[in-house]
This record gives sequence, structure tokens and C-alpha cells, in this order.
Amino acid sequence: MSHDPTAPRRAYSWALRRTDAGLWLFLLMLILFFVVMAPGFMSTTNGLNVLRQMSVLAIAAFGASFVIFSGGLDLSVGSNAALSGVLAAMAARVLDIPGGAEASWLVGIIFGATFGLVNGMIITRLHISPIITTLGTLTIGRGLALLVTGGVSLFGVPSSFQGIGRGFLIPGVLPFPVLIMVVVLILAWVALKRSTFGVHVYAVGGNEEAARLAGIPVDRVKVWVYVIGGATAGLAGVILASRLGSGQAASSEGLELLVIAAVVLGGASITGGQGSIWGTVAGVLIISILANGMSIMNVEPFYQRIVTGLALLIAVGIDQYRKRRSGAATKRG
Amino acid sequence: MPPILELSGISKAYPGVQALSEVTFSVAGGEVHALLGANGAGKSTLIKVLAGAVARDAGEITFNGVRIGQTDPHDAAERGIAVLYQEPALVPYLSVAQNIFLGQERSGRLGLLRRDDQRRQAADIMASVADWIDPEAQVATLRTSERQLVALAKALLRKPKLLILDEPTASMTDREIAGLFAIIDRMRTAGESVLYISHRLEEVYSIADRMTVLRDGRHIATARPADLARPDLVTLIAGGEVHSEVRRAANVPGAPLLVAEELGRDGVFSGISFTIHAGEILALAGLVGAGRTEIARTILGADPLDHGTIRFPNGGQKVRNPADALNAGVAMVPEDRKRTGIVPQMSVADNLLMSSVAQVANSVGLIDAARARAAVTGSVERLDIRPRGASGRPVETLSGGNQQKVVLGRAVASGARVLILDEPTAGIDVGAKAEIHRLISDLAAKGHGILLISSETEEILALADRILVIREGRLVRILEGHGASSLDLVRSALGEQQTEPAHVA
Repeated sequence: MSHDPTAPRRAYSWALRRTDAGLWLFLLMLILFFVVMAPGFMSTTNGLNVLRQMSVLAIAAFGASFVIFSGGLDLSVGSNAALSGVLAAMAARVLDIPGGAEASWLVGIIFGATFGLVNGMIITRLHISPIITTLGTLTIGRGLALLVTGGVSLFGVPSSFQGIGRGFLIPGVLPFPVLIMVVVLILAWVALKRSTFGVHVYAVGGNEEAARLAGIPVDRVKVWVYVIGGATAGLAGVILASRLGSGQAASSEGLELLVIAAVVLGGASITGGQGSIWGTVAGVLIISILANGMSIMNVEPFYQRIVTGLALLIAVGIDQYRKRRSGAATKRG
Repeated sequence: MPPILELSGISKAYPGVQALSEVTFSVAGGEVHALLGANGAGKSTLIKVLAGAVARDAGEITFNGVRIGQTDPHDAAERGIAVLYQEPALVPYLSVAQNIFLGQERSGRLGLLRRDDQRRQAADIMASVADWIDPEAQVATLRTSERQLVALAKALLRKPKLLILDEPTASMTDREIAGLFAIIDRMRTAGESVLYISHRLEEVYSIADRMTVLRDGRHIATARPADLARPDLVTLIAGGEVHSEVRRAANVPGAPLLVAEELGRDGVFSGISFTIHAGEILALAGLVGAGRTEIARTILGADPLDHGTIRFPNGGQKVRNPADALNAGVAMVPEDRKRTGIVPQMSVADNLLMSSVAQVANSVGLIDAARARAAVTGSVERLDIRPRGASGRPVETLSGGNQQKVVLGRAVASGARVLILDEPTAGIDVGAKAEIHRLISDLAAKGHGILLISSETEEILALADRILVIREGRLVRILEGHGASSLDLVRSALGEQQTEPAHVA
């Protein structure tokens, strides 16, 4: 391809280049709007605040991106996060020893991954559709979380457990949740763009039968995306529990819907095969900045929800409209 | 009887293929008219034109004395043309009676359904078509042939003047066929016409008043069965001897790559044995629906193997899925490029690398960008995929021929020695077709073993070293590819070779 000046430099990373420029423009306009309308929005403190607030959603959304790009869906993200957070908090109470906090965080993440493994096994072995499977595990997971906590907040967690949610790597500059978010982003980007697994994920999402006939181990790919989605949900739940300093069975309610909204806002197709991790970043930023900006403007939370929903519909609507037009143009040519 | 249907100069072209050219014939009132032709002769296109599903490019259709323009399926039905397709479009979770009245519900005052009326009428009509089918049964519980009979009942409810049957007996039992023929007889007596498409010549000779043969989209002959002997009919269907660029025979048969012994899938095919050697092009010939694609999918592990064994003399494990097949050195270019070949929105590069991405990655699965680029460039150049420099574009933006080259390139890049090519040139233009033929020859010359499935007699004769003729799930004949005649091939596919004992003597 070196002989062709129009050839892309990295041929196989098509999705990154297709990340919607309009999406970032929308984000920029949103930021400009709040800079003008929301005094105090444009400050280092608030910037850090936004990053810290978005980290839980972002981490869960990065994992969910794998699921959605592969053509799957995970509705159990919120209850997986709650249950993982509760279990991590319980583990921290038991392991009140040096290194116990770290071990308990790990317990939450591993439990989350196992939860995802169960989702993946049910979907591939029992051939139950993802939406039904994860609707079932969503309900079971929430029930289990209420059961193990007895429906009350789980306090008495050692203060060291709060390190992952409230701590800083560089005090006042780089909070741990933000650092973890960036690390997960880089890992997800590498896995989707630079690994064989990434090619398989997009192939399975784009045309499952073609992927199967091409010799891709479709079921294995599917199980893995749910394990990844589960692990990030678990990690998000641990960070949240750590920030709250307690295990709460009712936390993260509806997180899965925000996660799906963010990934779809980022240009992913809900039927799979399309999307990019940078799109997910943009989607999370839009949702988080909307929430933050409106809070500063003292907009009632009820309106915040309405605006977030409208933003989703408008962004996806514009995207669909443009795709239809460019699709017609390609077919003519 | 005056003609109910007159076709005059009907033409229809698809990109790269003239499906119908100036077809002229007529169907008389009260006539059972058989339409015959090999795969790709244009029968299906003609039915679609008559049903209003496809617009003709030129020609006139007169139906019942009225010249008709471009119609849509609804108009055709209103005029009295009913089509019974091989896979009838019914709603599986509704009852037989509800399906029969779908779209023509009987309603009374307030628009409420007159269900009892419907049930009674449905029961009447089913009793005349297939009395053993319960009108209250759910369509999902019926076999394919029973569904066809339900669709027939639905068609008869409109009292069509012309009924078009597209290979109705392919999956029917003897009892169902007898019932169908009784209905056809009744329609003939009532002065209604039937256009009957079938590959089963004995049926045609027993019920048709006249027969029309199409070949390569052209009208070849219309004759009464009494005036045209069966061997002559077969010759008309097959056409003269085809001379196309014939590939030179492989000099030495190479080592065996894949040995299939007594393969069988219950109810689909059985007793299929063959060996694919290095450097050889082995063709599976036969009619559409004979079981060729099913055999290929089973070898690939995409469908279960109920009987028989597949061995890989070069070493290869038992194949349970296409991923195993790939490890054993078998890759496929599937039929139906859009549905099972390409991943439409994924880039040309990723589509090419799909089966071999692990080969350009390190041990932890990270892709080496330079090696990936080199592999893609290599494939693009080897297969001459155009436009150049488009490897980052979604594959769906390429032409059909180039999409097919991408799928072929993927199979080649996988390193598989055995390549299964299922209709590799279906629906692509003539230029790309010649290129793909050349690529297939080159691959064989380089030591690949190729299993070619094609419905095109010419393609098989031009490429194959050996031809396995499959009919109704069985291997009926093996022909030497070089020097085989199209007549021989079509005759075997139709199951007509035994009707000419004179040759043997």
C-alpha cells in the first residue's frame, strides 16, 4: 500500500478513523455551552470532579463495549457491580490485615468476571438470548446482593478499603479511579485494535455466521466478552463501594442502561459489528458533562434525566440520518 | 381454448447476466404447461416476472386478454395469478385456517372476524387438498411439503385463473403428489391453467399438456409430450456440447489431502465417499437442492455429521466446528456472499485477515502491524482486489466480484490446503468470473485440493478434474472432468442416464 498515497497508514484500525467527528463536535459545543452558562464549570477542581465522577461509568462502559461490539447485550452490569461491591466490602471486613484491602478489591473484580462467565456460558451453551439471559441474572444478582446484606448498608469496613475509590496517586491531581479508568481504556483499546481477539469481536458482531464459517471460535469469543464486561462491572462496583465506604445492595441501580446509552451514543450499532472505544469515551463524556453541568446550573435531577434521554435520541437520530444518506451515495457509486 | 397467458419478447438482465432474453410462449386456458430448464436457465426469473416480484426490461405480457404493465405482486394476485413457491411464506405460529385467510379475512359488522365461517371454509378447502391436515393445527408443526399444501389451499381460495407451481413435489410424499395431481386435473377440467416447473421428467410426461424448455434465458422449444421423446428433451435442456476454455489436466495426482468415507446426514444425504488430492479440482455437480451445500457444510463442521468419517492423511483432528476444520487445513468460500461470506461493515483488510489473524500476531495475540499490512497487501495483489488502497474501507463498498475475491483471499490466507468453494462465481460479472476461474486453476496448480460446487455446467466442465454428480442426497455418478460432456452431466443430474440403453449396446 506504500505505492498508494491514499492508502490508510494502519489498514486494520478502520473503526478508529470512523469514530464520528460529529460526536466530538457535539461534545465541544456542550462544553462551550456550560462554560458560558455554568459559572465554575471551567475550573481545575470541577474538571477533576467530572473525571472522578465519570470513572465508574467509564470503566463499566469500556467492558460493555466488547459485549455490544460483538453483537451481545449485558443488562446485568448494575446488579453485578452492586453484588461485587458488596462482596468486596464483606471480604475487606474479614481481611482486616495488611494487604487485606487490595485482596478484597481483587475479590470483587474476580467475582464480577465470574458473574460474566456465567452469563457467557448460559448464552452459548443453553442458547438463551443475551437480553433474556442477562435480564435473568440481573434479577438474581440484585436478589443475592439484598440477601447477603440483609437489605441494609454494610458498614464497619476498614478505612484502607476506601483507597481505590477515594485515594490519589498524586494527591490533588490524579485520583486512583481516574488512573484506573485510563489504564482500562488503554487495555481495551489495545485489545480491540491491536489484537487478534479484537478482530474476532468485530467479525462476530458484524456477521456471526460468516465468522463461524471463517473458522473463528465464535462461542469462545462470546464467553470472553461477557467475562470482560463482568470484570469491569465488578471493578466499577468495587470503586463505588470503596468511595461510599460501605457495601450497598441497592447501589448502581440502572447503571446498565447508562452504560448502553454511552456505548450507543459513541456510535456503536446495538446489533453489533460497529463502534470504537473512543466513541465510548465520547459517549461517557457527554453523559457525565451533561450531569455535571446541569448540577452546577442547579437544574433539578428530574430534568437531567429527560435531557440525557433526549441527547441519546438526538445523537443517534442524527447519526442514522447521515448513515442513510452516505449509504445511498455509496450505492450510487 | 384461447390463451390465458401470452408472453412476447420478455427480457430481463441482472448485472453481468442476461437472465431472460426475448422469451415468447403462451399458456392456453385449461392447459397444464410444464416449464423446464437446467439451473440458471431463467425459470425462476420468469416466475418472478409473472408474479410481479421483478420488473421486466422489455416484452409484453397479455393475461386473460388484457395487456398488463409492470405489476407488483398484489396486482398479479388480483388478476388471478397465484404462485406456489418452494418455501411458502406462512406465519408459523398461526393455525392452518388463519394462514389460509391471511390477507383476505372474512369479517362481518364492526369489522369483527367471522371465525366460524373461516373455519368452515378452511376445513372444506383443506379437505380437498390434504384431508389429513387439521385446519386448527399450528403451521409450525407441519412438514415443508404440508406447508406447501396449505399455501396451495390459500392460493386456491382466490380461485386463480393461472396457478404457478415451482418444483412442488421436491419434498412431497407419494400420497401428497397424488393429491396435488388430482387438484391439477380438477383445475384443468374447470378451464383453469397451471404452469408447472419441475426437474422430474416422468411427472412432466404424466401431467403436462405442453412443455416449454428454457436455456440460458432463451426460449428453446415448446412441444407436446407425445411429440418429444425424453432423450431429445434432455438434449434440449442441456444444450449442445459446450466448449469453454478448458483447464489442462493435472499431470500427476498429488497426495490425498482429505478422505471422506460414507458421509451421511439423516434425511439430507447419505453414502458420500470421495478423496480430494493435492493439485486436483473436484466438482460437486447436481441440481439446486440436491444436497451439495449440505455436504460441504458438514465437511467444514458447520453442520453435524451423522454417519461416516473424514480423515486427513497429513494429520488433522476430528472436526466438530469450522475452527477445527481450519486447524485441519480446510477453509470454505461459502455460498451467498452477503449472508455468510463477508462481514459487510468490517474493512477489506480485516475481512481478509479474519481466518489468519493469529499468523500475524505474537504469542499473546498482539497484531504486528507491519506483518498484517504485508499480508493484506500480498492478498490484494495476488487476487487483484480493486480498487487498490481500499483495504481500510468497509468491504461492502466493493463490487460483488471484488467482495468475492476478498472471501477467496481470506480462505487462501488461512493456509488451508483444502478449499471448498461453494458457487464462487454466483452473481458476479463476466470479467471477475474469468479472473476467479484463473485463480482457482492457479491454486490447484500450487497444490491446493479444491472442492468446487457450482450450478453452472460450463464452470464445472471448464475447471473440474473429476465431477461427482449428486442427486437427491446421493452420489449417482463420477465423471472424468476433462472431456465430459454437458449432456452427460445434465442427464446424470436429472437422473436420466438409464433411459438410454441403446448407447450401451
